[in-house]
Amino acid sequence: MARRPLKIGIMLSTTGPYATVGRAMLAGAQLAIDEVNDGGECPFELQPRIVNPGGQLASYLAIARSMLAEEGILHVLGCYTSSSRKEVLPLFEKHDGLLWYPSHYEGFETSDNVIYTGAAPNQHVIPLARHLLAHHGASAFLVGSNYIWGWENNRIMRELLHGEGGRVLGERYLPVGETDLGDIVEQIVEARPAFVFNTLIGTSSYAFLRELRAAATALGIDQPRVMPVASCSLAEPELAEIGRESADGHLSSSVYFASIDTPANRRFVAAWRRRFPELGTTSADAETAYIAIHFLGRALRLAGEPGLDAVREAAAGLSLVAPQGRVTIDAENRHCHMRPRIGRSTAEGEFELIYAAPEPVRPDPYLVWQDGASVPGRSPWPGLRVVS
Amino acid sequence: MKQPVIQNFRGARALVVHGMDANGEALARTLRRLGLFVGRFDPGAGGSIPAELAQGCDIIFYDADQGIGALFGGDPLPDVPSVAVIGTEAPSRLARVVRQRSASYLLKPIRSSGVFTALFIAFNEFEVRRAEARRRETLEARVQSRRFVVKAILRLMEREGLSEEGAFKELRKEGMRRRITVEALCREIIAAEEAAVARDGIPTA
Repeated sequence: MARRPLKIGIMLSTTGPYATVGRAMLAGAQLAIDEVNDGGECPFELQPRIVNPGGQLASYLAIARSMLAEEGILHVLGCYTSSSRKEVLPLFEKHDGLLWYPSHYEGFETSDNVIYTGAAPNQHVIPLARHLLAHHGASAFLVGSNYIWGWENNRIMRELLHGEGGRVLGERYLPVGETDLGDIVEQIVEARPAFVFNTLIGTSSYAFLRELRAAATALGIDQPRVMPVASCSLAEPELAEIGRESADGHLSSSVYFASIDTPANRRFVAAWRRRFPELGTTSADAETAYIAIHFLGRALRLAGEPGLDAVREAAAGLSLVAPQGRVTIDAENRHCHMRPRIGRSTAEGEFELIYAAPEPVRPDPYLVWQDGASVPGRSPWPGLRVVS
Repeated sequence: MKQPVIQNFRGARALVVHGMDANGEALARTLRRLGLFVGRFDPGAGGSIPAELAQGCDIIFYDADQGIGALFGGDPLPDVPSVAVIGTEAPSRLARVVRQRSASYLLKPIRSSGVFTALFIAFNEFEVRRAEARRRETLEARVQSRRFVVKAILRLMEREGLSEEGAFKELRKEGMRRRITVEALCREIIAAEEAAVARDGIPTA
């Protein structure tokens, strides 16, 4: 069977404040594209059109418009920040495109034009909050980049803390890319929280972790032990950016760590090392992009055509054994069933696993099924014809 | 006064009064995803909304192009938040939305984004309105009782030779002892006195 070429968009920021993440995602996607094309099962030959928005919101918009409206591309793997995703979503709706979004995010969205292959909030911040409350205490300092990722995760953390009688000692936000963190670090070592919840991203996060470690060490505080920093985004390539002296002892909640010991992950890591020796180790961001492309390949094969409706329908309920373990696209909300894990970073730039959920957890992007305040729950309307 | 914000609508019953078309489907599907139970009624099908649907719901979504006033078979509309699903942005349709006091709205075509916002605002705005209505009722009752309070104070001043302030303090103390409001106490006192007047004639000092 002759394979038809299919152009797919890759819209990842490989320069700018979160370039490290973008480069890992791009590499993960490239690895999967080669595997799909070599596998011979997909009726299409994936031809990536790779464009770098450089972390600029306006560029995301221009690139998405050009891909969807001018080049006729239907499938785009792209975006890391939610602000960039929300910026381009109306274009995907208008042009019947499908965005394969390869990142954990804060939830509160179920667009019909997105397949979400990263963790939803019930798979990252909630298990992390429970772990921190159980093992480190109930006083926290919240610091984040000033956009929706930080706002929502901090809200969830704050509510869980208050529910347990805990306290938020401080909450501070900085613009994406800001690296002047002296004031905040000073406030934190003074406040001495039981843990710091960090939703800073990219360069801000690396600078923060270095400065906090330096300030604590200067005061004789064993920061990783008495005041650990926990986040839902810190990944292996970022540990290299932070530098050896400050890279260890940070907690990260993620569905993937390079240290996961499964045959599928060993294969993934080996293929990665052969192809991208310069990029160091694999990471959640690389794996999320990698499985997004594999899901795209399988959905195309099932659908037999690249149209939005057919591929979306084919993708619903798809399941594969990913490097992290079994991953299934939820038919209802098109996020993925995955196993939450918590790792602790080492100076060598890896994470040692300290917690893993026993099995994949259903994604709950609106946190509907978590404990907490809700309108009085009722039973379904019984026995009515008109009720669906 | 700050009220807690309701953020989770799991288990609430949503009555969707809308045609069985793509918009109605998208709305019902998204509401179910958010953990609500959905009951549907097609206003184009004729008849009125069954009582068990009308009485049992916690929120109503209705097609503003069609309206819902006539669909409850003459019964008053359920006292729950409503969300207008607006197709035509024309004054005649929008006037309905205003009269219905819908706390929130959605514009067609219905997309999955927007439904959570409409639900969130409708439930919470309705709660605020309900709290405001309760407060208004209390204030109105207090205004209506003013006549009795004034009378009761005057009586006490006359009989006990108290100052106005002293008389009010006495009434408040008595009200607290009996765990009723000053207004209710004064109503009682004046009602008892009026009954006595009706029975025995005007009391002589």
